[in-house]
Amino acid sequence: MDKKAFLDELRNRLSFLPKDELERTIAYYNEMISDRIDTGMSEEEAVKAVGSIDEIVESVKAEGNYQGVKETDKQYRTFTNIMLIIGTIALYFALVWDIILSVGFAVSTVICLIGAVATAITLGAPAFLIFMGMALILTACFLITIPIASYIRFGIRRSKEAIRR
Amino acid sequence: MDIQLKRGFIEICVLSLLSKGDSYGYALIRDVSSCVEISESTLYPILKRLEGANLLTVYTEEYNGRLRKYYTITDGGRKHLREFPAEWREMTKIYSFIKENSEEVRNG
Repeated sequence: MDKKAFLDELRNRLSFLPKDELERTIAYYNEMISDRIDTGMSEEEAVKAVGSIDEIVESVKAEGNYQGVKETDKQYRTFTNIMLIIGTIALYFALVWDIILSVGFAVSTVICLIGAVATAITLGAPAFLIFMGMALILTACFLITIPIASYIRFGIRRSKEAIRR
Repeated sequence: MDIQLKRGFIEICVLSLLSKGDSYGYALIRDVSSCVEISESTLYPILKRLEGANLLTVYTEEYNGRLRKYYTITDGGRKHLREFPAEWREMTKIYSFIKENSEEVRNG
């Protein structure tokens, strides 16, 4: 393995480290390999001499509990990505497919009303009120969506015409 | 040798080398290895700990068209070295105590 391949692989395997610590570690091994090459070793020999990647990763992990940082960081990133995707899809539907969105709200409203009736029987008044509240909010969304989306589409059409002119 | 014990000794070895003058990673490995076998991945956390404990400081200098880190011992590091003989005497006391009590150690 040459120096670049070794350091790239090491960087990948240590990606759970905080950025500055990762750079420090890579710089350290980079310097060590270069210094060995300067003493007359071949690049291959120098890479072999600093030890295996597994061994290095193990020693780094033994130093501090970086694993936990990695997991929460990952989860947070995944959550943010999902929210971004949902947001983008919602915006797309709101702008282009207001009918589908309205139907979606209408269906949700009906489901909430059914839920309200069902919980009124089984769980009592508080749960019934929550469902009724949700149903009311969804109805409001349903009623607002169509004019807003039409307004936005009207705006887009007008600016398109303006550009054409 | 027990890894924790070995690390403690290597720390003192590194400080003793630095007390003669500044040095860099590979030179430290080469010099320490003449006494205890040590690898890159063993030295790295030791240097980090010594820096964190203010026993040494780091500076970067250009060498051969690339950057190299050099390590300098601090006053704290020199104080640490001065305290070592007393620690060593305590350690030999512990050793004679263990030897006195254990036949395994006496015959080992």
